[in-house]
Amino acid sequence: MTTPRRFVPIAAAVLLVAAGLVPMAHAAEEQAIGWILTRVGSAAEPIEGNLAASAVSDESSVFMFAASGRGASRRVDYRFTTTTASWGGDQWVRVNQDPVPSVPCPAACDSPVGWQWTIPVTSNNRALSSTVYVAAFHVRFTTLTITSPGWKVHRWTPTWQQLTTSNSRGSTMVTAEHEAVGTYRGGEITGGRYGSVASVGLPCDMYGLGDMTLTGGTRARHMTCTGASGTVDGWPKRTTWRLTGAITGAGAGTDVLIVVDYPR
Amino acid sequence: MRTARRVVAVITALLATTFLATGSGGLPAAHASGPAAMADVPAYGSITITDPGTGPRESWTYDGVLDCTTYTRGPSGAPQSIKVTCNVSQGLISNLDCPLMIVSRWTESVVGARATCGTTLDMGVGTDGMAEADLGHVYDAITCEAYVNVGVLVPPYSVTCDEPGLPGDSP
Repeated sequence: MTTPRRFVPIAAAVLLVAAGLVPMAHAAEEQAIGWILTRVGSAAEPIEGNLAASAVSDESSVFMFAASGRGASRRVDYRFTTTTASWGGDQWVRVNQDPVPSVPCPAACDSPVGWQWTIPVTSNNRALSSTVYVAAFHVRFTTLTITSPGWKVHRWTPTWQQLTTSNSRGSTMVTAEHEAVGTYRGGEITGGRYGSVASVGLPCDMYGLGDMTLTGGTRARHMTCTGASGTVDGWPKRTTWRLTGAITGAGAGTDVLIVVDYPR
Repeated sequence: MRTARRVVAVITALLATTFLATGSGGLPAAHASGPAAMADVPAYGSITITDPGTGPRESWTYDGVLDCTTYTRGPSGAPQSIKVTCNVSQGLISNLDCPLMIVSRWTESVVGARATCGTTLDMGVGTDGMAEADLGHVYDAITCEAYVNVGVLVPPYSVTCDEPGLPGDSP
């Protein structure tokens, strides 16, 4: 019963969007920073550390992955803890005006801007012979700390593109303060010349119905709101990542499809 | 070591069922396509999401069988939801199921725990306990999630999704 009340402000945002009063965001190819982590020697080594960063906007996110091989043989190495972390996601206290929850939200559930998050960079003691890529979008005050020996860090300016709940054509999803509700119909992003890695998180993790499929990588990746609602895939050449299908629901986040290009 | 044994067991079982499905070892018969034509193999293994107070960690035993990734969302420097998704990789193993998924959780506050194979077992939000169910065929992925509906995950907490197979199965 409380769920519809939670989205009264979002419903108000629907009206604003419909009236053309709210500007729509566009896919971004800038404002991303990153690091490439390589081994000092040729021996495989575990990696351990963390990235501390503060959010700049409702779309602040971190995407980290590892890849083995070079050129056209580059592959995502899932022995690394491939992680997508997205700020945003809790409007419950403010939106539904229910009693204070049993687990208080330290941000007063207002906005993720300014809040720092420390995200593990780890292979869980697995020795890696691959290269680790850490990309972050709309963040500041970043500190990357690698505590395991045998790794060196290079700064990197990744090409970061994303489809969000507010810039997907054909969708009727409305985003209000880093939550989204409505119908999402996907879209597409073309990756870079040397390949790219894509991460998807369907915007129906609160509730929803429907399914979507990501293509452009090693194989079609099918996702549903109630099951596997996210995936990661990579492709070592230029490719167009397509997210097809539709979901209707509500999600705690704004970024749906993130594509980060491999460097040369 | 245990992980390696599980991987070997799953691959062995897969090869065995593949061999059986293809009759005398030739090409697969026309009717032997899709999950229904091939006996499912339990997805022996486990996924754990934990934070003893030093930061959240996710671990799994599916290396080499499934491609596992982590998706985290949180409002303010702490996750509200951590979901590990282990995709069936490259069609190598396409006939997995979860005949006895055991979801367990523990915390000093509250945490939600749920697992998905073909269907979902959701324990809801609480302090401790376990639940088990047959979650059926793995169509896309096995997922394990620690979450709260309001606020953020407060350590210490631990959520484990363990698939040991039915009693009598030998991983």
